[in-house]
Amino acid sequence: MKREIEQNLIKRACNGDKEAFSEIYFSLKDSIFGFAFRMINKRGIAEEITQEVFIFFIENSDKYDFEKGNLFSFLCGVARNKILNHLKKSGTRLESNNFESERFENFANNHSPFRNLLNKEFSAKIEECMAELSPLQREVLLLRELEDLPYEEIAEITETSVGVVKGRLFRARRTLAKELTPYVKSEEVLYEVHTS
Amino acid sequence: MKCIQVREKLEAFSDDEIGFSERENIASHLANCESCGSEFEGLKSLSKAMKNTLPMSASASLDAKVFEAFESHNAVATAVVTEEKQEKIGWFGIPKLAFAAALLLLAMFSGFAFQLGRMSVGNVQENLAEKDRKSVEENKSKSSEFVVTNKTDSEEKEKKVETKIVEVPVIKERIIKIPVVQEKIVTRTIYVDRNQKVNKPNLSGKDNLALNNSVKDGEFLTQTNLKDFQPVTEIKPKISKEK
Repeated sequence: MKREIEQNLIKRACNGDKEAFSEIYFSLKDSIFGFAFRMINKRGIAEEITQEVFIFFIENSDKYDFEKGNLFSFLCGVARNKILNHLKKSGTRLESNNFESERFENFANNHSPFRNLLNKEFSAKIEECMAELSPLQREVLLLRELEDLPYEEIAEITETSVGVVKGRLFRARRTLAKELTPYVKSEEVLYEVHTS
Repeated sequence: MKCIQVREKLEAFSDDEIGFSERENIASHLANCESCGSEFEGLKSLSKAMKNTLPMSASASLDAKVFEAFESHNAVATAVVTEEKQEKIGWFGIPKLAFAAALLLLAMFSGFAFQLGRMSVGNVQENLAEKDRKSVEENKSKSSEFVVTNKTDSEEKEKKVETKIVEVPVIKERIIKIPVVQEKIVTRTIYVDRNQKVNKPNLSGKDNLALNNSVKDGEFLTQTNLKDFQPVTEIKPKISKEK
């Protein structure tokens, strides 16, 4: 979303324009929810956090500073604080076995049974490896890989420096590469065999 | 570029977080070096795999909750705005701001009227003072004339004596401001010897005066008396005449 359009929408939403708010909401809710869900790995809590984030925006939309960054970064920062608070309170790490079956439904559509099986296995492996990462490494990796955010923006959201972001990203990728490289290669080969 | 240098910047290269010149150098190295190239491909495929598998969407129930919250917040906000509007309208339906402005105007007008009144009283006083001054001056001029006429009378009596015109300076009265003399408090310390048993002196009236008069140098006494040192409170202004 372009900056000017976003500003205009936010102003309108501040004045109670439902249409403007819904445009903002539908453009950002999946990203916020995805981030929360990958961090906590529980749909219910992730939805709660997403809801809280948007309610926070509704109540404090007039306090949002356009110059400090785009709205997604702002809301992502709010979501991050809530996620870390939840993790601190629960004192639990992500469990690799605690997957919910519904996340695989996305991949079950429009693919052959073989492809679906492959995707399921691969995504399960990715989930497992993500669970191995510390929350701080995980958040950096998610913001980079899923949202394509630049290092600077990630540093702003995570309240660190670009150097720290680079370091966390490097370590997270090393950990994932160790586990996933064989799968990635085999998946590519299998995919090529299957499609040919 | 060497392989170590390229490996250090490989992630930044794949994330598009590197300068243009360096980017070209790394790209040319990757085209020639097989091991660095395969590492770069690994990074890219990992990133691609994550992008393909991880995204997901929230349920529709979340949308309903969020929009409900939005609606309720708007309802509260509009209620607050109407309350604020009602608060702004004060007693007898007059807006508070207008009422305050009217009060301010009234205060300003009354102040102006008071100032006008003071000015008129001052003018009257000035006129009176001027009249007094004129009458005094007239009296003086009469007295000076009297002096002159006296001299002429004496000349007439002594006809042979040459007449002289004597200029008599006009005596002007001038009011001199005398500064108020400040009160001066003088204290006297009386030392009493602690070793000797002395009854507490009666500080009221003549006894106290007698005690103070009886004090000698070197004696230890402990009392102050200010009653003898009355401050000068009334000083009458003196009018001096300037020659």
